[in-house]
This record gives sequence, C-alpha cells and structure tokens, in this order.
Amino acid sequence: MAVSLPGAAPAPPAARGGVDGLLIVALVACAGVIVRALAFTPVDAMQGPAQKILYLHAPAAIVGLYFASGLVAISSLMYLWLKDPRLDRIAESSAEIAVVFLSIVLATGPLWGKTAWGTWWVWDARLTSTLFFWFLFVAYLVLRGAIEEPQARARLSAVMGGLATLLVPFIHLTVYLFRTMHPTPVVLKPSAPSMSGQMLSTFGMSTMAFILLFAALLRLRVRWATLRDANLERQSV
Amino acid sequence: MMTTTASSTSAITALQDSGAAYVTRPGGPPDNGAYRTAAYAIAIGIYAVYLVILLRRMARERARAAAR
Repeated sequence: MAVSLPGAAPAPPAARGGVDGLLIVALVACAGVIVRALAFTPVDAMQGPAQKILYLHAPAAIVGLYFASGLVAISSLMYLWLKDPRLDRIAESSAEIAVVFLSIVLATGPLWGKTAWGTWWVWDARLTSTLFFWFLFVAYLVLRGAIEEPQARARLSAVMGGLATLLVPFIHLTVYLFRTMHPTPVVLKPSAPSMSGQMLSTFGMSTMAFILLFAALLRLRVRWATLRDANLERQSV
Repeated sequence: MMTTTASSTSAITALQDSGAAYVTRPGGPPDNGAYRTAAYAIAIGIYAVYLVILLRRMARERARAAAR
C-alpha cells in the first residue's frame, strides 16, 4: 500500500473535496428514468401500475447479482493471487453495495408479488436462494468487521467472497431448474424480449442508469476505504 | 372483451411475444398503484440513506486527514 508519512507528503487524492461529477450524472440519470417509468411508460393492461416495479426491481437484481457480486468474486480471487490491498478495498466496497441493491430487490419483490401472485412471499427456489445470498453477503461484511489484522481480514474475506458468489449462476438458473412462482427472464434470454418497445426502452435505460449509479457509489466507497486505510496507517506510524 | 381462460392464455403469450403493447383485461388494469408507489418510495429511500451514510463517512475521514 502506498502510504504517505505524516507531514512528508500531500494528502491522498481521496482526501480532496469537491463535487463528484459521476455521482451527479448517475443521480440525474436515475431520476430521469424514474420519471420516464412513472409518467411516460404505458401501464401494463394485465398487471396494472404495479408492473412498473419492474423498472426498479430487475435492474437492482442485475446490478446486485451480476455486476457487484461478479466484481467481488473477481477482485477477491485477484487479491488471493496478487495480495494487493486495493483489490481488497474493491471487493469490500462492491460487497457493501451489492447488499444495498439486493435489499432493494428483496423489498420491492414482495410488493410486486402481492399484486401479481396474491402473496408477499413464497419459499421457492429463486426467492429463497436470493435471500440466502443476501445473508451470505451480510455475513461477509460482519466477518470483515470482526477481524482486526488487515491481511488476515483480507485473505479470509476474499475466500468467503469468492465462494459466496458461486451461488449466482445457481440463482440465475433456479427459474429453469425448479418449478417456481418467479417468471423466467423477459429480456435476458436467447429469444427476443417479451416486452413492448416502449417498455423495453424504459427497462434498458433504467438498467443503464442503475449500472451508472453502481459505478458512482463504488468509486465513492473505494475512495473512502482508501482514505480510511491511509488515516489508520498514519495513525499507527 | 377478452376473458382469461386456458385457451386464451396462448393467445396472450403470442401477443406479448409479438411485441404488442397491450393485452386487454376484463374491467381494465387492476388498481394497484399504491404498491407501485410504495416500492418506488422504499427503493429511493434505501438509495438515499446509503448515499448519505457514504457522504458522511467521507466527510469524517477527510476531516481526520486534514487534522493531521
């Protein structure tokens, strides 16, 4: 880790204040797609207004399960190989953001389920495995807080992060492998999307906006972790 | 007006796959806007709370770095 000695070097880049342009762009994009989804996208004639939960629920699932968790797996495995603390900070940050996005998936899903299925929750393979995955990532963050020695913390959490993410392909396939209330994907499938053009474009924009939000939050979270570690390092010198 | 029966299910699926914007429902779409509003409010709330936590953490560490 690059550490500056007290008084000998300028503050790390993360210590400088200022407006985060990426974060502002991401927030504006998210606000834009929410307005588009609520006001300018047609109401589904079968499911009613509750179908618009799709534009929050599915992008949060895509970001949480595939982007954030994938990044945890990649950076964890890379850490075990290279032992670079920057990779540990990326894994830590991505896992925390994955918990945020998956919390939104688990909070909005039952609201949609109540209107579409008539029940808030069913213990089927898709819902249960997603909840279990959320618990694994919460456990990952708790584990990090419980270990004081930085290298042991990074190594053990890299192992746990890498292993937990093995659940993601299983979660994706649950709707094909088991009889479940949760529908199969309407967009991420080999055939053409089962969605009208206007709904599909809103869904695409929403997914892009939330990927952008993930990138902005990740950058901010990694900057914070870098600054925190630099402060701790300077404190111990 | 179309009723949703087993025989019409395949017709509905075919319409959806063809990219049609609407499949009619007897009596119009259900009135479940409150669930949509609740979902959006919860999601926006979670994102906002997390963003505030991140910004406060950052401000605290910046202040600590500046104090040295």
